[in-house]
Amino acid sequence: MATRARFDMKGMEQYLEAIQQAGLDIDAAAKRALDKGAAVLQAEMNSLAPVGETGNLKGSIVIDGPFQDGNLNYVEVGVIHADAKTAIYANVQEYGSPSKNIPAQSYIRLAVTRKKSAVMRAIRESLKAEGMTD
Amino acid sequence: MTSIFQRVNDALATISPSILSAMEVFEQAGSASLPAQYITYQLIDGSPAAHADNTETMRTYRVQVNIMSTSGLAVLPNVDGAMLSAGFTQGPERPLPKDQDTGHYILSKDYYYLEAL
Repeated sequence: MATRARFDMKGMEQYLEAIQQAGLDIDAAAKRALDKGAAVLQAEMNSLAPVGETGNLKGSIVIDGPFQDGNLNYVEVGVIHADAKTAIYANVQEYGSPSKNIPAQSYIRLAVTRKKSAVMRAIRESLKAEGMTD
Repeated sequence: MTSIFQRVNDALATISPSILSAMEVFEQAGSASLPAQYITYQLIDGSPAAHADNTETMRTYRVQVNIMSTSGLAVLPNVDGAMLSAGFTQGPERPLPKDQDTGHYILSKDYYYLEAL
């Protein structure tokens, strides 16, 4: 069960190519862009995350990466390095516990749905600042 | 206009052989009264998908359907077939932890529906 979202630079090839043609470091530019996008997503997840007795969930939503897998740079955002108790709570909040009558209070999926465009915009803006031209 | 809840209800009602399904978990006196297989669902999100002249013209709904089964997840009712026939598209799915009280294994599946308003 994933309580994290992963996104990468797929679909941004033409922008990355422009950066490469400008003689800039494509991987470094991609990672900085992913950082910007991840920050948008993290903020939205934090605002949507339900607050329980401890409030630990909000503090557990982190950005992991960016990582590189071959030519693909990606980043993960969500509840990634939390303790077991928080991780279980995070799952129950995101997907609910149907047999215990606990409804899902989605903060991962909802954040991705709501901020998909904003994340891509942040990535594009970052790449533009790196020297990409439209 | 048919509500998203009605659409899910109608879709799940077509599953053969029929299986109990409801928006909420069944009210039960005890775990023993739960059926061996049953389905619950809920709306996760409804977001605007298109606008024209400052008016929303399309909306995407994401619903989560949970299939509960005491006999594991290998043989399950054809929820995909029922939902796809009703115009939904498939999203991600994931198993949820087995319910230790009732013995049900749980598969949670997401579906999308694009509604023209």
